[in-house]
Amino acid sequence: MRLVQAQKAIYETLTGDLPLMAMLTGIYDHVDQGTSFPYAVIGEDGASEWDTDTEVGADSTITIHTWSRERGRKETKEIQERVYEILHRQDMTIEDAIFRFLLWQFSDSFLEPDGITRHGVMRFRLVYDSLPVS
Amino acid sequence: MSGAGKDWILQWDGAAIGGVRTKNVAVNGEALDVSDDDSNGWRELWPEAGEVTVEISLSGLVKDQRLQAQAFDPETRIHAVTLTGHDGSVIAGNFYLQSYSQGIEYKGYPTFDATLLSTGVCTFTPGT
Repeated sequence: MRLVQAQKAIYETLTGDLPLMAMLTGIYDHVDQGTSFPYAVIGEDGASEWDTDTEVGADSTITIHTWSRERGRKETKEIQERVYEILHRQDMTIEDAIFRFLLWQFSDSFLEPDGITRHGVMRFRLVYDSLPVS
Repeated sequence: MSGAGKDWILQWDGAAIGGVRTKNVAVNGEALDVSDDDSNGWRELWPEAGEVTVEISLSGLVKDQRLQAQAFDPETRIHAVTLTGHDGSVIAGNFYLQSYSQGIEYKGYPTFDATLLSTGVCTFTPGT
């Protein structure tokens, strides 16, 4: 597994995209109280084995949450669209791993119980082989 | 970890094929039916096989293009194959690449299945 390296690669891809960063106040793992909207969170990730006789690898899922306080879902959808553009079927470099593929699985958006916060959820499938830790 | 399937190493011309996940070995000894009127209605088989053949099936992910390249080459399809177990047992012989098929799903990594047929003597050396 290269869970930390995989999250770092996703984080660097997202934060390296100027149009996306222009839409957000930041991209986080832990979100401090009082963080301004809109922002994105690299959230839950899971992984299962993707081994062969000759390599070990991981078939993982990466969830990206977006949080917005705009009236309506337009901002949430625009952020999701941009995240999709820069991740779905794109290449990336993962430290101590061989990247295989990255695919979008689904997106969804909800109005939170507070009645004003729009919550977007996107999930991607990331598959890679592990290399020895450098 | 010892004793898992990955510890059975299949070598094709001396090098492991990348991406293999499953290996299956089938040994077939063709029986010679020597039943006759004296068998009193019971089938009788000759103690020696008419023909012994070994078939190895492989499947996995397409991370190594050697089998794929060979599949498209009608010549020189026979290669030295050894399958070495975690206990040191060895199955060795020359094998003909009979079939190769590839599954290419739009949202996954390409997979393959291949079948190797023995030609000539195939040996089994028990391990410890």
